[in-house]
Formats: sequence, structure tokens, C-alpha cells
Amino acid sequence: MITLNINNTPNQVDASADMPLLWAIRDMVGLTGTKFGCGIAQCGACTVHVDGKPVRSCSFPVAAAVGKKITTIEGMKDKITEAIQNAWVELQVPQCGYCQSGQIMSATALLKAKPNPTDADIDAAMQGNLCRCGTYQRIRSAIHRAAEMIK
Amino acid sequence: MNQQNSQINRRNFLRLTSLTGAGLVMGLGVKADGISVIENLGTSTAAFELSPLVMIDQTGLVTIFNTKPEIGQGTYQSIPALIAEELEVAMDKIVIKQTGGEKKYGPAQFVGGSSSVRTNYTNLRKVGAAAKEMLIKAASTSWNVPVSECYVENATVIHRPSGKKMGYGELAEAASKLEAPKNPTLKEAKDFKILGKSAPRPDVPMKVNGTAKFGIDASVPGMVYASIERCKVFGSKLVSFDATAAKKVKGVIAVETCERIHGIYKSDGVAVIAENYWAAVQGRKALVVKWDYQGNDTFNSKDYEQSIREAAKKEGISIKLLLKHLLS
Repeated sequence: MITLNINNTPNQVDASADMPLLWAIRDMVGLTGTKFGCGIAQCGACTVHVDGKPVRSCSFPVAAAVGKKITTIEGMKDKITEAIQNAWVELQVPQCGYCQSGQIMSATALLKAKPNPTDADIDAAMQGNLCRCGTYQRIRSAIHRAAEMIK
Repeated sequence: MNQQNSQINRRNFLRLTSLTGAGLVMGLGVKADGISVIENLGTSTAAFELSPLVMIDQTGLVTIFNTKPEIGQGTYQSIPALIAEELEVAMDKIVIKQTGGEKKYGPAQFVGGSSSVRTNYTNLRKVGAAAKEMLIKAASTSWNVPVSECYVENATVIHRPSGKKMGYGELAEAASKLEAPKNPTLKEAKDFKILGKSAPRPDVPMKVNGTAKFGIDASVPGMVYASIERCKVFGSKLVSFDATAAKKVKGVIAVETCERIHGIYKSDGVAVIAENYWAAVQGRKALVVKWDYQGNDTFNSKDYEQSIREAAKKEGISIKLLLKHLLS
């Protein structure tokens, strides 16, 4: 048994040490807001925070997450996330929505590090999050909007 | 539990529980477990079915069932809007519930070819218009006035001469007992309040907090996961496989053969079934499978093109003659 601290709750999971964190979160703990996209850390759909930093959970072994603070989209309750979610709704960012949990996890990490990002900062921070619907322009606008809301 | 709820028969129970599920979470395919449904019965209000797609409860809450899966194209809003427009109820006053393949909602619970709105534009408006006419009829009967003196505004039936009003909640039960008119009168496009206008999508809030349910999030009791090994060569046959290592992977439950049909072709597969998706994939990677390629492993575009070129040099048959022969 491995204990994972997910969204401030300890979870006992019977996972092998090399299982990617994503599958422990989805199939064992049952939190399905985090999505499986490519499985090779190239699309960002599976992004969660480990000790506040965005990581690709599809390629992050559970063993490396033990003793750390794991946060999924379901556990994002802070002011920055709230502003981002409100901006996302205001600008109607998602279409199919499949990548958006990951987008929001990356956007939150960006605004925590840089409360006033430029377009270049946004593009650099968000380039690892792909969106097949092509919502990039609205994502960029919504991050600026969230930054305004937080001020 | 009040008198109303103590007299619940099975049909009403199903209606109530499905509404409870909708009322609790405006989610895509969210399941209510048995226990929470029973607990919630005490606080539910009875809801009445005016059509399989429209339910109204005693408080006037309108639930509209959407049979077209939301995949980013907006059917979560556009399909219920067709009904809401004719029913004269605002989009922010309805609960949308996604259907999950239940028989009562018909065979067409899928989307494709950008056809959802086009093919349902009239029939779903008729669903809303029929429900509206049933509510008007119920009100006119209750007031003992002609239907022609009544009209609807904001989910309320109004008697024009007297100004008397009745909300949908008060009328739902009586209306649900009436026969639905087959050819209700539809609104003229110039009178549309919802259709053709931009509005915030009700699925967006669920898509920013992780609660929207996608296909990959579906869950049924006792569910397990499978990953299937297929041959890299099309049209191969399975000779044998060794699942010893696969079965040693933590979480693997069983290994089974399976078959996939593509038109006239069949392809074999070996499925690794496991407690979670990761284990199923690891098990599949650990399989040792022997395939008979049926000679297809040497097939390539260059040789194929050459064979066609060679064939073209031979005496052929004209397409005209061939078609004539086939059609005769």
C-alpha cells in the first residue's frame, strides 16, 4: 500500500511503484477530472500539481509522489483558480472541454509565478497543453482576464 | 415524508429518482446510487412527464432531456433550446439532463454529420409546443374558459380577459394526463426569444472544475479495464500466445482472445483484462504472441502498384459492360 496525499486527503492505494500517478488518481482514487490524453507527457491533459508545481501525471510514477502534496482540478479552491474558472466561463473558453482541466492547472501555476503575464509568458507556460478544438486564443485572453480579476 | 411521497408507485419512483439525479448534479450521465435516491425522496417534489423529454415538477422546475451527446459542438444547449423556445421557458430556468442510452429516448442518442440541430429542428420544437398546449389546456379546463383566450409567458399560463395566471408547477399534473397534440402550432421565427441568439453555454462551468463526465469517465458496478493486442499486419491470424508474464502484472485479472470485424475482414486480438487501465496496458506489453501473417507482411504499395500496372496490360472488360451486366 502506498499513501498519496491528494487534495489534502490521505489515500491508500494498492499501486505498483512505477504506476503513473494519473492512474492512481483516476482508477484507484476515482477522481476523474484529470484526463488521459497521450500517455507520454506531450499533451498536458493529465496535468496536476505536485507540491504546487505542474507535472504530467501520466508519466510521473506514484513512488515519486509519496510524501508530497498532490492537487487535482477537484482540489483547486484558491483565489487564483477561482478567478481563472470565472474568466474561463466569462469568455466561454472550452468547447469539448477534455483538455481544460490540464489547461487550468497550467494557467494557475503560471499566475502564481507571474501575476501579470505577457502574451509571450502565456505562450511559453501553456505550450505543453494541447487543445484539439483550438481554444488557444480564448485561453490567452482568459488568462489576461483572470490576472485583471485578481488585482 | 409527506402523503404524496408515501404513495409512490414504481413509475413515479423512477420519475422522481431520475429527476433527483438531474436536480442534484447537472452533469453528463451522473449516476444516483440507490441509497442517496431513497434519502432524497423525502425532499423531492413530484414531477410529471409531459413527454419523455419534458418533465415539470410541482415547483415549476422544468427538466429537459438532451439525447444528443455534447462533444464541444454545443448540443448540451442547442437541443434543449429547441424545446425551451416553444415551451416559453428561459434557458436559465431549466435543468438539462443528458440521456444515457435508455430505450424510452429512442435509438438516435448519438451525433454525427453536423446533423443534430438540422434533423431535430422541427420535431423538438413540436415537443415543446405540444407540452405548452397541454399546459394551456389544463389551465383553460381549470378556469372553464376557452383555450383561445389563454396564452403563455415565462412558464405561466395567462387568461387574457381576466388576467388570471397559473404557473407550470400548478398545471403539470393535470397537463401530464392529457394526450399530446400531434400537430401543435409552432412559433414564427420573428418571435423567437432563445433560438438564433447567443447565450452562455451551461456545460462550460462543468468543464472548468473537472465535474463534466466524458466517455473515459463512465463507470458501471464491477467495471474492469481491457487493453487488446492486435497484430501489426492486417488480416493476420492468431497462432498462439503466452500470457504467463502478463498474468504476473499486478492488477491483471484475465487474458482472453477476441475478434474484430472490419467489413469482410476479421482480425484476432488478445485482451488483457485488469483492475485498472495501467495494469491492462502493462499486461498487454508483457504478452508473447505468435501470429500467422497470411503472407500479408510482404504487402507493400510499390509492389501493389506494379501488380495493378501489370494487370492493366491484360485484356480487360469495359466498365460500361460490367455495369450493364451487374445491373441486369
